[in-house]
Amino acid sequence: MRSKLELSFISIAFIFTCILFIIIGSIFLIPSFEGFLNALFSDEIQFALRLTLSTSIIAASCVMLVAIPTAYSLARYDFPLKSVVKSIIDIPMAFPEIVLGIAILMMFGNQFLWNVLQNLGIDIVFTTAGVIVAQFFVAFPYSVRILYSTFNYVNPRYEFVSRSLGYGEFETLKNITLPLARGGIFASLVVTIARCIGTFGAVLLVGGGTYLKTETLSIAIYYNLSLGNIDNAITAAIILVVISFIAIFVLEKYTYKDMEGV
Amino acid sequence: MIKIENLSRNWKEFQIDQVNLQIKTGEYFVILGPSGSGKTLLLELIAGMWPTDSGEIYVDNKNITDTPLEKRGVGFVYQNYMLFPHKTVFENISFGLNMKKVDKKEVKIRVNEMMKLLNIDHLAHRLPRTLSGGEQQRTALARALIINPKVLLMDEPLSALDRKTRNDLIRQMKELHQKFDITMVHVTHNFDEALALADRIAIMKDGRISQVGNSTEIFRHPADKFVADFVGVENIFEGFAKKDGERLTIIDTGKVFIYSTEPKKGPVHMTVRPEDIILSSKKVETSARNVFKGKITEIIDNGALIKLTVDIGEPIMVFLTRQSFIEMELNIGKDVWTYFKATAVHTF
Repeated sequence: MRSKLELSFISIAFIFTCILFIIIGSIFLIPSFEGFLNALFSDEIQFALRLTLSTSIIAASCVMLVAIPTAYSLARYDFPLKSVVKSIIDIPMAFPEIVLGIAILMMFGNQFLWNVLQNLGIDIVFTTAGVIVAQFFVAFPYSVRILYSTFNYVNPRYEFVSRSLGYGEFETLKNITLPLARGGIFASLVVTIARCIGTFGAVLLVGGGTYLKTETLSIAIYYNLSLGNIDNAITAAIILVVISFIAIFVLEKYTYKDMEGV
Repeated sequence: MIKIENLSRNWKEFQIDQVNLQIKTGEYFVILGPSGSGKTLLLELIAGMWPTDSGEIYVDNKNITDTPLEKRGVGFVYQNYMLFPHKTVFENISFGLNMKKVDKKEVKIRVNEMMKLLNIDHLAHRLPRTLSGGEQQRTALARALIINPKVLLMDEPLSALDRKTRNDLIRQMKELHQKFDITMVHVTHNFDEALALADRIAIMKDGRISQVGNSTEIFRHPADKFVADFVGVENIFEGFAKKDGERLTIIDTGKVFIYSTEPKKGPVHMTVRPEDIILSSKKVETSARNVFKGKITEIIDNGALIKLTVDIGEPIMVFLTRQSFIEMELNIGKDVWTYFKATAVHTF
């Protein structure tokens, strides 16, 4: 016999999951199938899909390359201002993405940095590179967060034993720590890609959201909705929902099972 | 030989404080202490897992204080085994050899030999989580020994095992110590384990070494009350010592006067081992200095051995064989005589 508290809590969880499911599911009911297919194969949505996926993969790869050493050093080493570094990395998770976007825009719009980058032939603002930069900074804190927990979860005594068997620090990281942390690294990668794909405000401000140039799926929803092109907007939304479902499915299936016994 | 000089490190929550030790080559050395005394941290400092704040560590007269962990030639075995969970038993054991770029065929031969030696050859392709505690510990020992370390450091290697497995492993570890002829440093809180294995024992408390010696020295002559309590010495009394003639010291516990041959003055602790005390129903002539009449207050039947507590003014514990106990027809409340020599009384 379930207690009253148990029944009430399960009911709350169930009712609100249903509401959430109906909200998500409703977007699948709005466009006609023909309208959906037309929108899916339209130049704009095809471009937005390609741009979103390609920039997200590049940004997520860069995030992982930086986040792994950052999270590892936060988890394993003591260094001056460690708590400050940790707080600064966490800050972007707390404020709106659009604020991060305007901050990046201001930084790269700075006359000195602008000149330096121009001399190096690098254009960030209102370019595809800008989209990647915005995605990078939006996703980076989330990635570090997950990896930090993951490395903390791996007992450092495995590393001690490995080193007592003759492996140096780097070999130990490669042969012991990273394989033991692979579940968390994979989770971090999935969440990072999902964040990169879904980001809107920062990408709009830094990338410019130019039609058929820097228009990602999220921006495509916004533009098409404001122009009354509902089919395109909903199709872009459906693609994002499907990608999110795949990400969550992969995360659940492969990640946590992998961490058992560590 | 391992020589540790004034080794200290402060972790804020705990510190290893001015540790000095000398461990001979080929010795089986046990560091004994209660939980939280810093045994594991001391072992990890020797292994190089933490930098030291001060002090030096020498192995074979070479200063290794700042040598990286992987270059110290020190094997390490943890209480909870720390087998790599993503590797099989074979892969765990061969791990150290792979780094040394040993030929694959030779790796196979050496790992198989080591597995046979430790009776785990049937487990080669199993993952650690499918093994029993004893099997995991044997695998951990094999993994550490296969690289032929100069020193093998073991952190409570038998503590997580059941009694039978522990006894089997004690026997096996003695054999391994002889076969590999390496210096073994074993940390434990279990005095029986230390008695069974150690050439010498160091007693540790609050990050400091209280006493070093062989088991007899430590058991018969504990350096202080902590050591005496910890190794299970019975009959510890507090008193005030003063000289009595040329060769004797008399200790006043407040209730009885006890003679010792150890020269001491002022406040002291003293102990007399239960097996050094003779018990009789009637007063007999003896050369023993300490003779007391008392009443039996407690009888504990330990099988072959009977433990009696006799109130002589202080409660004193005496051991009797079952046979003697039956012959003397002893029971609670009975008056008896206890005798022990002044040389049997140890003061600290």
